[in-house]
Amino acid sequence: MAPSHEHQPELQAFIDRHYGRLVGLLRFQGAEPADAEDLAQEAMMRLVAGWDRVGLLDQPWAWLVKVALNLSRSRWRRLQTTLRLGHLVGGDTVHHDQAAIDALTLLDGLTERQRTAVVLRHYAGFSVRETAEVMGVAEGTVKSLCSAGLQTAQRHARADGDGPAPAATLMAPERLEGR
Amino acid sequence: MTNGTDLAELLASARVDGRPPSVAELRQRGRRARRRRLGAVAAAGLAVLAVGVMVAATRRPPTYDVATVDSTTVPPPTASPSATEAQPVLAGGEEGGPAVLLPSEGWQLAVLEGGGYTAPDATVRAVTGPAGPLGPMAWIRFNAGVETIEYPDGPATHHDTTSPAGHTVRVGWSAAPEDLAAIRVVEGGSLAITSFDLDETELLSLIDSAAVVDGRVEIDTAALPAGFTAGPTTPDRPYLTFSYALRGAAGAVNVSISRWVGAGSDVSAFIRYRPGIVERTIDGRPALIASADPTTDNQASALLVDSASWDEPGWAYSFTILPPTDTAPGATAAEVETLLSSLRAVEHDELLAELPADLEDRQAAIDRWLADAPVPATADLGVLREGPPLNRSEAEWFYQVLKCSVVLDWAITGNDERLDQVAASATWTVGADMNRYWEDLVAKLADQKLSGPPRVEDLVPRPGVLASARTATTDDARWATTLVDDCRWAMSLTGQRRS
Repeated sequence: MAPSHEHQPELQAFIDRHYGRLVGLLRFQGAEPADAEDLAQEAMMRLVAGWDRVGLLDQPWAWLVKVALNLSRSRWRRLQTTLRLGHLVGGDTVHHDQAAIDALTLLDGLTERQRTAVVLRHYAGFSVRETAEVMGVAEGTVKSLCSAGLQTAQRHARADGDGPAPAATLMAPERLEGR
Repeated sequence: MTNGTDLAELLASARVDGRPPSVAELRQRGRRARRRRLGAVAAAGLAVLAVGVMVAATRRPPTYDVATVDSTTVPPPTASPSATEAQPVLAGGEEGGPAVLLPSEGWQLAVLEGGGYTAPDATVRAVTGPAGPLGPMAWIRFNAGVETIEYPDGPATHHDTTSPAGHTVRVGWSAAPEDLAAIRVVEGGSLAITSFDLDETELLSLIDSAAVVDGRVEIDTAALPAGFTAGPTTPDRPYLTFSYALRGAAGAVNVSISRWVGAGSDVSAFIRYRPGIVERTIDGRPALIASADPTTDNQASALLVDSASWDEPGWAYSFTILPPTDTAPGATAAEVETLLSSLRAVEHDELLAELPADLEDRQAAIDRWLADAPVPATADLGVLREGPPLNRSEAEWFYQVLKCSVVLDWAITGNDERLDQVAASATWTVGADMNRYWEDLVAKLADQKLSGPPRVEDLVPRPGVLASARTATTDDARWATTLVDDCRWAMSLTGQRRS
């Protein structure tokens, strides 16, 4: 379903505004840089295809995040990723600032669900209710996942503080850039 | 970074950037993806198979170990069988001419060509599975009229018995008691059957009915246990083809399974089946049906991913579901629905993602999921048309109904002529057509104000959708269902469509 051309500037603006954030969200979910970009572009591709409909939603950003998360969970897509022959278009380099690199290190110790909840709440900018809707869980679950996730991160940060600095914090930002 | 609360702060201030693609670039990517999906059905299937072959070749060399079979005439596998046509694997013979290993769906028969079977004084061994880590399922020695049965883990336990028809039959089994082999001396040679599912009584009845006629093995299909069917033999396929059938509560839809283990070899898988779970594959490992993949060969294929290797792409097994009208006379729509219910139940990505690694836990999880699947008695799909949100269970049910209905109709009608006709003229774009179909279906169901499961005839999709179901790849199907899922989710999230 191709979008109407009169919506294209609006659509492009939406993509420009959210692309990096979506790639970041997928990175914080554990995707490698190239995979995060690939997933983001796949989700954006569907956004383009359905913009006439999605653009009318109250929360197209939430729609996009949900689609991207579904894609990242897709078993079949993981199979496809193995077979991917390089279909990335446009950007192929992911840049992280130091805060992102540190966050990646701390997120490593969280479970997948904790990670999702924390990232949706504190990176994607969703409220507890919106996070619960995206994840398909109760609001209380989101709160407990976030609480447990942040506590885990706190423990890891303290442990790291007693020992050597996390490897990622020693790594220059460009080392974590894309392929 | 000194304490955990910093994680929230770090995330709030973190910046990850990449160059946003333009709308035109994304459209180009979409067109390329669509071309790939629609234009390379075979290529896509073969690509997946190729991965399986590569992995299998890497990890489980399809070696027909000459030393193991004690033969110097075992030719290396040469021909690469097509995805839809199993090829016999020449296993070789020592004195009585070439032996033929006969892979079939659910069964393997080892007989000899050149006279049809062993000469009385011949010594021939046939391997009924690839050597290597999988090991042969069984290998059978025809030795100068003294037949023995051996397994990779040593000589088989065996005993001689008299079949119902009065034949002397040697029955052997390996450490797995259900892995039976039987040898019967017939005129001028021997006939062997191996089985992975029959009990001894059934096996004896089957081997009683087997005969070699004009160099071809024939069997009285009436001797087949309930739920099994046998395909015809042809001059270029002088062996029996069995369809392994679902037995028990799952219905009588035949499922034939073959697995590629390497170049030139195609080994049947023995799969025991119950709703939602394929209990094991040829090597005895558990497997689940991961996704449906309709093909153009009068069969709906599906992809099995070995659950033990769940995170290792490439452990793919293909199998086929034959239209019930062809292979399971008498199968009812309800029986087909039973099967497809199990298929759609395990197709669900989220379910798969949440499946426990432990087999027992996984089965329990699936059972729980299936128990939760029935349609809510209060479901009123009319609300979809009116705009208010569905509750989650209603939406989930509707999604499953939709996803299944495309396959369901085709499986029940098996109307290839119509499908082919439509396929030739259909212009299929997954998103647009599926959306239109979805909306049509919504309207239809809403009109009826269904409060329970819809009738099958209510779920007949438009022909274009059916055609695509025949020709689309797994990727297409998954894309389409994901699209619908996204749409459904968006509706539930936002409460109503604003358009």
